[in-house]
Amino acid sequence: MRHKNFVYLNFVGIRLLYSLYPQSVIFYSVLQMLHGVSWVLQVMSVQYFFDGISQNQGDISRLVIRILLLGAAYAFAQTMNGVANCYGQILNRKVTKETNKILFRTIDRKQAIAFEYAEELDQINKAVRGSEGVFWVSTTILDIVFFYVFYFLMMSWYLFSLAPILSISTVIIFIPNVIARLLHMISFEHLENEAAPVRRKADYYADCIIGKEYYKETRLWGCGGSFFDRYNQMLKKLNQLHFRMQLRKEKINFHINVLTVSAYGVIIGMLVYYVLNDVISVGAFAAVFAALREFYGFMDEVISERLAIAIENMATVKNYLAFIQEEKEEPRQIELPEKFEIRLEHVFFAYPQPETGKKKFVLSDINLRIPWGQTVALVGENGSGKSTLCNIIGGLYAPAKGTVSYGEAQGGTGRIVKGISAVFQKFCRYNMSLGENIRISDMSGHHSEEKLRQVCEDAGVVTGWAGGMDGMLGREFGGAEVSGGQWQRIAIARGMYRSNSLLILDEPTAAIDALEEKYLYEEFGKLSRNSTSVIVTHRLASAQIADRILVIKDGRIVQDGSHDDLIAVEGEYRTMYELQRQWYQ
Amino acid sequence: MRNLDKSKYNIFVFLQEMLKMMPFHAVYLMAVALINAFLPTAQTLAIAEFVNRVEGAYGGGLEVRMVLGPLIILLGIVIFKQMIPSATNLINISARNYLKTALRNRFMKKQALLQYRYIEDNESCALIYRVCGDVENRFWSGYRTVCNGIELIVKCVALMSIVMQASMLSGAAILLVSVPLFYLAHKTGRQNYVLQKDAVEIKRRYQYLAAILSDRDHAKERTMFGYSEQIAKEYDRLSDYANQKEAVIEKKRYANMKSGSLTMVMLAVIIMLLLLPALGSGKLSNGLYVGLVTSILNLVQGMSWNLAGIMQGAADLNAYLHDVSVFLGMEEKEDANAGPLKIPGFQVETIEFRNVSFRYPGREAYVLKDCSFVLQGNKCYAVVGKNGAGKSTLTKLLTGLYEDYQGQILINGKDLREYRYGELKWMFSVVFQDFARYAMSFRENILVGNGTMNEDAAHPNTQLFEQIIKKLELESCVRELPHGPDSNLGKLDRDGVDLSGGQWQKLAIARLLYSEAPINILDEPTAALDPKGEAKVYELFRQAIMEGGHSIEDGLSIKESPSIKESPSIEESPSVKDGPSMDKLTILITHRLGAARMADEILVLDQKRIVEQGTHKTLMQLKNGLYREMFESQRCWYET
Repeated sequence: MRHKNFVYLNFVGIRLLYSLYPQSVIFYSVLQMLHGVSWVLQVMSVQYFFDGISQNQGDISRLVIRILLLGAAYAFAQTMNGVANCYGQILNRKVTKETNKILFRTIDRKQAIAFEYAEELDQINKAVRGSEGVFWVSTTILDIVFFYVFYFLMMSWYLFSLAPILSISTVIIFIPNVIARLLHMISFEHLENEAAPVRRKADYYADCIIGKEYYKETRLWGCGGSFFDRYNQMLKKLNQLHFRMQLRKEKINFHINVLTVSAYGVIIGMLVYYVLNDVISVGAFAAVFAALREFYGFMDEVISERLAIAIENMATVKNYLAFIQEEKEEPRQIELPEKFEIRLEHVFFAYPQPETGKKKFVLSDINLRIPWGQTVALVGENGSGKSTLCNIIGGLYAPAKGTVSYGEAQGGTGRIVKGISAVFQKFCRYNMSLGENIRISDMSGHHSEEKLRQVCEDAGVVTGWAGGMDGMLGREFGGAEVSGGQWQRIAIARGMYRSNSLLILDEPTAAIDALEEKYLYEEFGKLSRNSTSVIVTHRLASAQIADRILVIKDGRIVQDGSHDDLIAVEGEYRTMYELQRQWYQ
Repeated sequence: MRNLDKSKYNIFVFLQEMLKMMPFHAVYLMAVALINAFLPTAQTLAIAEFVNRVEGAYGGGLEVRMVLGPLIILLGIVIFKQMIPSATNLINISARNYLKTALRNRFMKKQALLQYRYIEDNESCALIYRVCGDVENRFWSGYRTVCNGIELIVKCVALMSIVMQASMLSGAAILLVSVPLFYLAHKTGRQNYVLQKDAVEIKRRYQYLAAILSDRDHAKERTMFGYSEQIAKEYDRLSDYANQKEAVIEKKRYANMKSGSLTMVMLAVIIMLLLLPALGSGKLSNGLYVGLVTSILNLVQGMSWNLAGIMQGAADLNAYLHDVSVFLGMEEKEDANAGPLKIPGFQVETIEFRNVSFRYPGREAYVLKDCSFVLQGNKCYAVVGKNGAGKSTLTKLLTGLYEDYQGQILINGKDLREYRYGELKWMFSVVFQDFARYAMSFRENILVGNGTMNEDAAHPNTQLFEQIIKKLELESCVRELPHGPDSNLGKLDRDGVDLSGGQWQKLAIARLLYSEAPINILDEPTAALDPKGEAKVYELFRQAIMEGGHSIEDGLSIKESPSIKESPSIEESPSVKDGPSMDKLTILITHRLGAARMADEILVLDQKRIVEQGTHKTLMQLKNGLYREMFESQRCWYET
């Protein structure tokens, strides 16, 4: 993909557009072609009219027809201009919707771990941005071929019909101009790269003064002044860079313009020569002279605007096209049985670290069997690997080494679509209705109002807001503002609503205050009787509701047993437990 | 310029300011616009001359020198039109640079001075963003719109005057026809079809769904719950609906714009027809007629986009200037930008809340209602309460971020509002839960605790700094940094390094210790740490305030750090004496009861008031007390 050039990528883009909306793409091309023709018709009608004036002595009635023809040509050009552009805008929206849908499908097939790789995340983000640009970038070639090239060819033909040399010299002058402009465009990328970090710094210092996350502290520490100084330093640098950049551009522009003006001069000279020698009419002279600016204007437009914008956005579109092309086959869907035993054998896991290239295992050699129906608590310090282990047990991450299996089903061979549910530490707050916020965990399953009410009750979700289950939540779309604790409960209800044989709770009460935390844990204790559950918790005492406690340290299971077992022996668990107990003595 | 800040920011004030701020740029642009406006007239006359001479010479021998004059003018026009944009580009960039420096500084200063309530209000923030987000471009393009408008008008007037000169009658007739037609073109072109409100709403909704389907935050739930297919269907439905509406609007928009230009074409045709009699009678030479038609047609060509652009630009400018007026009219906080202002000899004795009631602007519900309590200097207090009980509001009121509360807050008996803001800044040091992780050097991140870091960097109290590093056990962390304490933190610089959560936490505490503020507030600074990490941070903090002569009766036993006791420099260094060794009042805001116990007294916030205040022991003796209930509910976990 990397070595494929602009034209090839455009071709891929057009093929994609064509596969989505074949008729519309053809129709669009025809419109652009007519648009191109309409501009040439204008020039011809002007000449026809001017010639009429020169030839006509006294009789003005025949001029009226020529004026009306001219008016018609102009009206036609204006109409085509509007229709073609408007149609493009509308088609763009339709196309973007479809390209987005393809994008979402591809993302859905990605593994969740992809979002943890900085590089891959970057690719995904670029692809997302690229999706918006596919239409405009791909249609650039269409426009060039069907509008601009058509226009230039027709104009050349028209000039040729006036005087062959005129047409040829126009083309000859045209070519160095095109090359100069293209070169000019390409040579400025590095300057922009130089400005980017300065701009980032300037933005950051501005943020330190007025950004929401810094505002109150910068005010209270009274350190805004020094950020102003730093900001102004960066601004000065940035301004200098920008000016220098523009100056260089204009220097090149100057040369190109001298070229253009000389070309202009040559052509006007030729026109005058032909007029004086009676080769072309004075009407043709006036018409061509009027059209010349347009001619060069279009040339400018196609190169400095259309191509420049297309090339600028090419990178993201390229990313998009590459991204959707790697679209794999739909992963195999795994439905877990009603009851199963979970087995982890020699499981290792490492997050990607592109900078060092070294792999640091977050989990090492985990061997674990969780029989059906057991409630397991994972405890340990921050960063010990608890959440990662949860994600592996839940099938979100595939182990680097080792195997995970659920009864007969082997993990990592496909996508588990049924049987597991979870409440994540960083749960989502959907700006949707309360009911949707909960049902979203099992949208393909059978909707049950009864079940919805039940999980809300179990998780202690307040349902008495305006609109009840249909009431919108979150400020984004004018919904009710919900406290952190309520969001947490909604997330718990969401996890419980999805039918599951294995429920994973990753610090499910972090945002809930002490009084109610206890109630929830008792609820978990009751709920987990008819499924397997894995709970991550900081509060060691709450781990007591579990049948079994695993103490994780530095990516390994260091202790395994019931609360009574673990408290009876000297070890990590007892130390941690005692430390916490002291607070409440 | 200052006096204009207060007045309404209308177009005249705007132009006046532009001229005052950057006379050269503004005059240049206007001059180019005016020259451009007269070019069509010049071109008309040149073509007229050319055509007349060529036609006049029919039959006779025509030589180049006879048409040289008009040709030079024509070529001159070409050169001007081709070359001037380059110079204008340079002027543009220089103007934008200039405006950027001037306006960004001015507007940012204003922003930094605003009353804090605006910052937490979404609507005000949106307005501020609209005004300040792209200020230099908004100003400059506003000015350009004005120039373009003037250019267009002058252009039309100048062409008309040629017509009038040639044939009064035709000219009058043209005026008669063109005024209503021009008005029509103007009116249809102007109709600015903004998206209907519901279409915008739906667009925002499906864009939100797009985020759910593609962003990182939703990645885990998306995979776990497998809802992509269903949400994509909803996305499809909503976008179809919005696209349909937008297509209708788009068509209307284009239809309007183009019917405007078709009207202009019609006007051009009418003008050509009206001029025909004059041509026939010879009043108008062939050349002038051809020249006029060329210019009019040129005008028509550009008119539809030009007129629509100018109208849109004018509407935008108008709306923008309105926003600017509102922004400049926003209330400022006095001394908001001032550095800390030391009150010599100040010792904190009491902080008192007297019947304080407060609600956030624009909200119905009170956060605090008749809230009263007294804190004594030289003690450590903990404020506990449920999530959302308003604990952090206390911080915001004490530090003067919000001042429109009812009742009184007194420090040493003097109303908080009577202190200068700089004095309050000096008095308080706060660690917020989401404390600022500035992308500066490690050292500067700590020095910020004592006013402006730049001045301080010149005379930093190195000894104190070293002491604090030692005390907070940050030495090993500093040693691992590439340039020691002068290493840049954060990702702003290429060599920047990031600290772990716990290290940042300690750094935030170090800010407090480095500052000489007599009152410290820790507003849930450890919420992101696990209990073990939290215990560690509190223990370090407790040791630090122990230096100030604190004693805590109950709670954990404290290991005294030998390194501090052995260090002789503490007692000798004078600045250390006004530094952390001074007596301080500490307020600890937390929802973790275990942590609250280390305080001398605990305040329980509930039902918008302080409902209980006292030592841990006293509060535990209260029957049906909230604190006791909360504490017991946690303690019972640990009783087997």
